[in-house]
Amino acid sequence: MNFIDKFFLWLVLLPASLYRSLGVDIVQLRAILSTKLTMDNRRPASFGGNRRKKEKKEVNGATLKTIFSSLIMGLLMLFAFAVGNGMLTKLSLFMTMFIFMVCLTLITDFTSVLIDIRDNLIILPKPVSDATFMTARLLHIGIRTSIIVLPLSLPALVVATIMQGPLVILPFVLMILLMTLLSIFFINAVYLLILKITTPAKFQNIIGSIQIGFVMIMMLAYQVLPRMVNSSLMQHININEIPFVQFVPSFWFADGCMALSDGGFTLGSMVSLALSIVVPLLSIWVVVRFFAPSFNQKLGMITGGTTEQSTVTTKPDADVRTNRGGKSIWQRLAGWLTKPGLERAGFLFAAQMSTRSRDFKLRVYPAFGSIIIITLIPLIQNNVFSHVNFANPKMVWVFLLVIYLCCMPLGSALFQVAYSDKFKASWVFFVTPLDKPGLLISGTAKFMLLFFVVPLVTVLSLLGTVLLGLASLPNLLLAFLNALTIGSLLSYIMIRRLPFSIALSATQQGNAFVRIMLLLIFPGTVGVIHWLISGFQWAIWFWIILSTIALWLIFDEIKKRGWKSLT
Amino acid sequence: MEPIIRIQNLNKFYGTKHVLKDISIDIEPGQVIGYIGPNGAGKSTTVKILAGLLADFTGDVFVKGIDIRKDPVAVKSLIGFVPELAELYDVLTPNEFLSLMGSLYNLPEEVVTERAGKMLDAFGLSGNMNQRMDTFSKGMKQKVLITSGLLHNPEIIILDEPLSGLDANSVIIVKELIDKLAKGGKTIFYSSHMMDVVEKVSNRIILIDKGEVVADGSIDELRQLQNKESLEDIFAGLTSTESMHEASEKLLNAFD
Repeated sequence: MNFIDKFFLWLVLLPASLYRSLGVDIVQLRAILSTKLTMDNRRPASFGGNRRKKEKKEVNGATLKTIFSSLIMGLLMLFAFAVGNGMLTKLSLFMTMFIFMVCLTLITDFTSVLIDIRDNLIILPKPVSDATFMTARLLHIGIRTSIIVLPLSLPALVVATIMQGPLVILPFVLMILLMTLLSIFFINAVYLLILKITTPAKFQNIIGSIQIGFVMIMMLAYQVLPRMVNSSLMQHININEIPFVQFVPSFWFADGCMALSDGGFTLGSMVSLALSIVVPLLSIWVVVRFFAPSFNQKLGMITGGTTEQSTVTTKPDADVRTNRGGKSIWQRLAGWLTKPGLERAGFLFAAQMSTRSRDFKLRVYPAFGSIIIITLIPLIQNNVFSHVNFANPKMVWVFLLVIYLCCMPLGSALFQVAYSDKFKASWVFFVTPLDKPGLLISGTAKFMLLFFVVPLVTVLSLLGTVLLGLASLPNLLLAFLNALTIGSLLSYIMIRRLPFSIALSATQQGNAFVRIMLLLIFPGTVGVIHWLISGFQWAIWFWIILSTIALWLIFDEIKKRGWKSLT
Repeated sequence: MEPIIRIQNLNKFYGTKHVLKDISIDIEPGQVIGYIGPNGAGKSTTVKILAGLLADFTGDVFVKGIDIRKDPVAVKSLIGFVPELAELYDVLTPNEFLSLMGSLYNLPEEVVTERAGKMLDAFGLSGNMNQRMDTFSKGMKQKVLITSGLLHNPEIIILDEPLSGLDANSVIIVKELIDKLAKGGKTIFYSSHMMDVVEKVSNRIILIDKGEVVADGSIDELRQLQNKESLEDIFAGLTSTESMHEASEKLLNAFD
């Protein structure tokens, strides 16, 4: 246990005599709490980043990492104080982000805190009283929440104090507390809603998807927020000019906080203040009175009842369900694009794993999204798009540039495809008479190209053709083919292991530099050459033919790969 | 008759740890070998070598006369393997997983679909064929694994603790299946802790301890050799240095 956990443990155990009078056994309480905090410390941190270390290295210091990343988020949220017109606007903006962040963080974090089925097996059979157990659970939730909320709100508190004077401190802390209560209400409501519309077995999956979305939002916020500070729109935004703002909870908190700190009470601010206090208290009462009973009842089913549940239902999962002709979309595509046998198996395997495996999605989708954003932001910032004039044939270059940039996110996805938290299941490739792993890899590579490159590039090429006219078709066609060829070359270089067959570990970061250089150099070089010859119609058509041949040759090479060429 | 599996002077080290010491076994076609031993005796290592998962051993392993190190692919296509721990790509459905396995064994798609359907139906899983396995119980996963090991109708079947997690009825099905497969001429290598099952299904029992074969014969031969009735007692007599009574006594003494 680290000093922070020790401090919290000491702090919550201070009112020992109060607990005793409630019938709580202090020795047991301390034992349960310190065990829970130790376990939290060894769990991957809630901000998603540490999952990859799970297999090889023991996770330790997760609590400190959580605090650290909350602090970073807290600093990022200072964005609110840099924009907007007037303190009320700034505070409202901050408080909106705060509620949003607390909800998202706790929703993924609480699954493991609230839904620890091991409690039923380990603590309940022991002579532990209900009062002790409930107190332990509540204090645990309190500590977990504080560990996230405190660092998240601390930077804002400092800045608000600097801007408004020390009078803002108490109201601010009060509002943070109330907002946290409201967030807990939201989370409970979402949990209940999820449990209502789905089976407990899928609960974890849904929470997982929320987590993926959460990481993507973080990436996006990290890229976009600092840049928005300079935009004139954000500088002059005023909260009072937004219609119906009185109905937004974060406005109540901001308004209430302002009223308390500068004493400027108006009818509006009185209403806000009342709402900001009554609504959270009321909602927490609803949680305790109505949510908790039915909640606890259902919690047991989430991990406990999965096996029994699944034997009862015989309905296939939605995305497995086959449509016309009894084939799924991937099976159809595999039928067109791959030869039967190993290659098709590799294609389908990659399709099924990468569209469903939570762990793969968590590693690839956020990175994929952020690379797209990172590449687009300079274009937006330099106002490339505002100069777009579709009458100018040179505009084809905007499209070509974006098409070539599409190769970069593919690279990161290709790199991840060999890793899986289910790597132990890869025995299937080693006990079977698999003599040409290359076929499996080429199937995988075809899927990766189809999934991560083709949709984007197709849309861009079609859009380009429509907007710029048929004359640009050869150039766009060449860029399309080059993107595929570059993608296949990257597959050849990067897929050095069977798909989903090795453990995630810290070592995978090793060649990051080489990887990034490859990703920059390939598409860059090809793009520049394309630009140089773009004036010569015959050269473009010639290159189109060359590129097609290259694509075919590269895939031929991938297929020929034997066991020896896999590292 | 020429042995279908011939293991000669098999040695295997993990670092400096000598896990398998000079093991030599000849297995005839149609035999059901019960391969037993205490924890850490080297059972799983032997199984992994036979399944082609480990190649860095000394000595020779021939399957149907083929050197497993020279042509592992040919050997693997003769073998059906059901691993011990149900490690699976569990976001796949049984149908998808079995069709992947079928492709890896170079079976045509129609054959896989037909066989997988029939076999899962026999296990009572026909309603779950298009469900992801992440919601499956251990027993259901084990049934899928057994199916995947038998899919290509292999001549040799290696089973590593195949009954783990199965309910009573499924255990009966699998035991009878082993019997019928053996009668049909299949060779079965059955590695397990469950003495009562091994006693019933196998016609030859090989007991290893600390990497060495300590007993090899039919259950009757072993009974005569050790002058004990149940396989459990024979096992205890051959593999433990101190008596089990002493150990349980020691456990009780901890309270004093």
